[in-house]
Amino acid sequence: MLISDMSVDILRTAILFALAATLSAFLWAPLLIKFLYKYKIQRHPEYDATLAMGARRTKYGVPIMGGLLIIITIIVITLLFNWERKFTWMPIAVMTLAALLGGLDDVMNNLIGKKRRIRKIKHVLKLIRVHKDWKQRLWLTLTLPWTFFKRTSLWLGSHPGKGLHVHERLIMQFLAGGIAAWWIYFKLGEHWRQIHIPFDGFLNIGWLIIPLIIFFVMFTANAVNFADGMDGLAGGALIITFAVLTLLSWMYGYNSMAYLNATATGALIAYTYFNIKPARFQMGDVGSLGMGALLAINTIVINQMLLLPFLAFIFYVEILSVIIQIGGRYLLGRRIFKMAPLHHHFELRGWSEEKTVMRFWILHAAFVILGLWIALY
Amino acid sequence: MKPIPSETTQSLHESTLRLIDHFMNLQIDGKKIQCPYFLNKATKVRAALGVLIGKGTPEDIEEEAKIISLKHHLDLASIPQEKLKEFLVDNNLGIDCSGLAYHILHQEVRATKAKPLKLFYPHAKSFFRKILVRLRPAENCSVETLVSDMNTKVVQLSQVTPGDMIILLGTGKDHDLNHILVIHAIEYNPLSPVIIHYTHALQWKRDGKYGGGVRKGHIEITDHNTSLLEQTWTENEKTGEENETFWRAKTAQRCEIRRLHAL
Repeated sequence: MLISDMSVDILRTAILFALAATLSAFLWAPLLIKFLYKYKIQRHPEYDATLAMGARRTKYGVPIMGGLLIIITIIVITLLFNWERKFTWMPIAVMTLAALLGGLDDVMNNLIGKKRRIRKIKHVLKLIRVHKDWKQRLWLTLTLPWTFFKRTSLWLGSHPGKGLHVHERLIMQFLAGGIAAWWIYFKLGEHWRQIHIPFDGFLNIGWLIIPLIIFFVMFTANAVNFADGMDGLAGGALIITFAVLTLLSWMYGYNSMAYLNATATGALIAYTYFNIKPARFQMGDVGSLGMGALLAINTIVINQMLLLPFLAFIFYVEILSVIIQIGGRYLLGRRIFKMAPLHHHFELRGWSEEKTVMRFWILHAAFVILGLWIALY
Repeated sequence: MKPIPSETTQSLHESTLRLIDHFMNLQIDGKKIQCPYFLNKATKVRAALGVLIGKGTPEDIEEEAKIISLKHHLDLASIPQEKLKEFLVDNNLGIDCSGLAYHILHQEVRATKAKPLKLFYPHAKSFFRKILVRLRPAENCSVETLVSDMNTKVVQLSQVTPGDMIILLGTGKDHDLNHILVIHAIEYNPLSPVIIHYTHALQWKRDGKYGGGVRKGHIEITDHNTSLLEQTWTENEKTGEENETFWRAKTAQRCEIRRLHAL
C-alpha cells in the first residue's frame, strides 16, 4: 500500500511542528533557567527524603518548574498554528488546568505556602465529645465525612509540606477530568464516545465515557507525576510516547492531533536535553501533571483509551508500585519495595540513576511499540 | 529431631540460633548493635508497618533504620555506635517479646517441620479480623495468642525442651504486663534439664530508656520437684530480685512453660 501525497504532506508538517517546538524551546530555555535560579524555585529538602540518598545529594538547589518549558511552548505553538475547536481546544484546556494545579503546588511549596495540618480522626472524635461550644461540636460532626476523606487521602500521597494537600489535589484533578468529560460528552458529539477495542473494532460506550475520562486523566496525570523523580526519566519516556502518539494520530487521520503530539515531542526533546543528569532543572508538578493529563486526553481523542497501559507503561508501573506499597503497608504490614515509586527501589538496591533511567526508557519503549502494534488491529 | 550439638546440650535449629544472633547483633552501616525493645502499648499505633510496632524481623529493622535516616537526612555512618541504639529507640524501632517469640518459633517450625507457623488467633472473631490475622500474623501475635490452648500446651519443668516458652501473665506491681521468654537451649545431666537458656525482649527499669532489648539469660534448675520460680535465674550477671526478669516471673499471676502444638 502506498501512502498518498496528502498523507506525506501531513507527516511532513507534523515533523515541522516537532522541529519548531524543539527550536523555540531551546531558544527560550536559558531565560527560564535564569528565572528559576534567580527566584530559587527549588525542591524543598525538608519534604523530599530522597534528596538525602547518596548520589541524589547533588540535586540540592536544582530548580523545579522546568516543565513550564514544555507547557508554554505547546500552548503558544498550538494557539498560533494549530487551534481547532473540535480537537486541540480540549487537550490544551485540560493540560493547562492540570499544569496550573501543579504550578500552584510548586509555588506554594517554595514561595508562598504555609505548613498546614489535618486533624486526626481520633482527635476530631474526641473534640466532638468534649468541646465546650455546641456549635463547634455540631460543625465537627457534620464535617466528619470530609475529615475522614482528608485523612484517608493522605495514604495516597507523601508529606504534603507547604503545598496542596492530597485531597485538594484529587478534587482539582477530578474537576479537570470532569470538565474534559463534560465537554467531550455534551459538546463534541458521537465520535468521541467511541473507544477502539483491539482485534475487534470500535465500541460506542455512551455516557460511560465520562467516568472513564475522569479516571484516566487523574490516573495518568498522577502517574507521570510519580515518575518525575529522576533526571531524564519522565522526559525521555514522554518523548517516546508522544512520538508514537504522533504516528498513531497521523495514521488514523487526526491531523491536528498529530501536530499537537509532534509539538509536545519537540518541546520534550528540548526539555530533556536540559533535564538529563546533571539536570539544569526538573519538571515539577507543573510539567508532570500537565503532560500526564495531555497524554491521557490525546490518547482518548484518537479513541485509543485502552492502549494507555502500553503508551504510558512506565508511568503506570510507577504509580502501581506506589499503590502496591500502600496496600502492602496496610494489609501485610511490610514494605513490598524498599521505597516507592519503583525507581527509588532500584536506587536503594544500588543501581545508579543513569542505569535506572535508561533501563526504564528501554522497557517503556518496548511496551509503547507493543501498544503501537496492537493499535494497528 | 532437633540437632544435638554436644552430649549434654540441646538447642534450637542452627538457622533459628542465627536469627536470634541477628536480633542480638543488628548490622547497621557496618556497626553491630543489640535490637532494642519496643512496646507498642504506649504508642498504640494501628495498621502501621510491622517494623514500627515492634514486630519486624532483623532485616526489616535494619532496612527501616536506613529509610528513616534518609527521611531525617542523617548519615548513619557518622553516628557513633552507642548513639545508634538511641536513634532506633527514638524512632520506635525494636521488637517486643511476642514479636520476638513469633519470629523465633516461626523460623524453628519452618526449619524443623518445613512449613510455616500457623497460629489460631482467639481474639479474631469477625470475618474482617480473621482475614487480617492471616495477612499479618506476626503483628497480631500477642502473649495471649501464644498462651491459648489452641496453640500451645502446658509442659512440666522436667519435660522442657528447646522451643518451649516461659509465659508470664499479669506481671509487675500492677500485674499489667504479659511477658514471654523462648527457650533456645537446655543443658542436661544426663537426661534431666539442669540449665535452661532463654532469649527474650524486655526493658529493665534500671537500664533506662535505651538499655532494653533482645537479651539472653539462664535458669539453673536446682530442684526438679519445685516450680520454676524456685530455681536460680541469672541474667546480666544479676540473680534474685536484682534480676528484673525473675522479678517479673515472681510477680506474675500465672507462670507456665508451654509448648507449641506445631513443634
